[in-house]
This record gives sequence, structure tokens and C-alpha cells, in this order.
Amino acid sequence: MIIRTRIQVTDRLALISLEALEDVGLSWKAKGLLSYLLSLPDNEKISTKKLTYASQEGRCSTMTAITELVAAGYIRRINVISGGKMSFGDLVVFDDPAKSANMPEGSRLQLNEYSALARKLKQQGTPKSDESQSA
Amino acid sequence: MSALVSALVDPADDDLDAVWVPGALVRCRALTLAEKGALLHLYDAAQAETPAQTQPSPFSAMLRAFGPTASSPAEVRSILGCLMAKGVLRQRTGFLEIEEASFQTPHLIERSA
Repeated sequence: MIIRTRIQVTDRLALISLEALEDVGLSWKAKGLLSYLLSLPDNEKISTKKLTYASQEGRCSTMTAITELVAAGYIRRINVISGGKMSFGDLVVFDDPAKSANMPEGSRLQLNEYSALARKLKQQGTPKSDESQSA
Repeated sequence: MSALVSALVDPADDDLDAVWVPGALVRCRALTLAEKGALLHLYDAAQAETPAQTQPSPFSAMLRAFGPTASSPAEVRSILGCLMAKGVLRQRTGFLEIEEASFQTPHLIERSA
């Protein structure tokens, strides 16, 4: 799930925030992963396996980059519970780390809570294209 | 590189606190994550240039333009070397140039698939 507040992408171009690019705590690997994640559609379900397939990185290398982004607030890992069992895991990606403050790392959410959260975050966070262009 | 990038950027977006990069770059499977991160910095450096500085920057200045990063200097040089070996980055008489066509070259993408 991608929560965008200012980043917009098209098929041809992606917009990466300078705040992330100039973050001294992030390696190039983490920045490369963040740029890839922010190029995905909003409703994309993201898994480590999928990320490993999408680049030349191995699983360990991908996990290292994810850990960096979690520490910096760009990613939160959540587990979605359905019928008392874990249904799936998802990475929630934020283009603005301040927006992740209300979502603890490793949160467990019921499926209906997850769906509601997705709707709520998107309503709060996703700007219209013309707003981001004039920001 | 400057001319290449400026052709992609809408002047109306100049005040955005962000940098535009080709979508093909971030989705290219032939590049490692670190190589993509390095290229993001190159695009940032190119787009930050004022009109009076549209000539390509010297190699050393371009390296400085990467700015602070958690990557070590040795890693930085290694990544740049890999980008040059893949034909994505070229050094021309002391200048760096991004070969954007390489992001979309089918054989380069398939080679790593």
C-alpha cells in the first residue's frame, strides 16, 4: 500500500522528494528501493519476495534496505488478520515519514481495519494531481 | 546530461521540492538498488543547476554533488564503476553523462532477469 501526500508518478516519470534524497541516514540502496516503491500503484500489495524479484538484490540485501527505511519512517510492516489467522503481510510506504508516526511498526490489523485504514489514509493523504503540480 | 534532464522537466515544476526521474530507471531490473540511488542523486544535481550553469559539471564536482549519504566512499566509487560498465553512465573528458536509452534497452533488462 502506498500512501502519497506529494509524490506523483506517471508511466514515463517518477517524482522523488528531495527530503528523502538528502536524508543522510539513508544509503543509496535504501533510496533506490524507496524510489521503486513510490513508482508502484497506490493499491499494490508489497512483499519482500516481490521486491527481491524486481531488482538484482538478494533477499538479505532487500531486507537491509527495508530495515533502513523502517527506521527512517518511510515504511511500516503490518500483518493483516482475518478469521483469527494471519491473512497476509503488507508494507505500507509513505512518501512523507511524518505521516507514519501514527502507525507502529509490526501492527496487527483486522482485515476490515486494514481496508478502512487504507481508505482513510488515502482520503487524508493523496493529493489531486493538479495540487501536487502547484505545490 | 543537463540538456537531457532539462528536456524531461516541465519548467512549471521548478519550485517543487522534489526531483523528476524517468520511470524506466526506477523499474529497470538490470540496475541494483544502490545504482538507482546513485542515479537519483545525479538527476538531482543536474536539475538543481541554474541556467547559467547548464554546462556539464567536472567529474569531481559531480561526485561532491552526491552529497552526504550512508554509503561509504569505496561503495560510491564501486557503484559508479558498475554504472559505467553497464553503459548507463559515461565519462566524457572529465564529465559524467547518463545514457537514458540504456534503461529501456531490452537486452540489458533481460540479461539480469
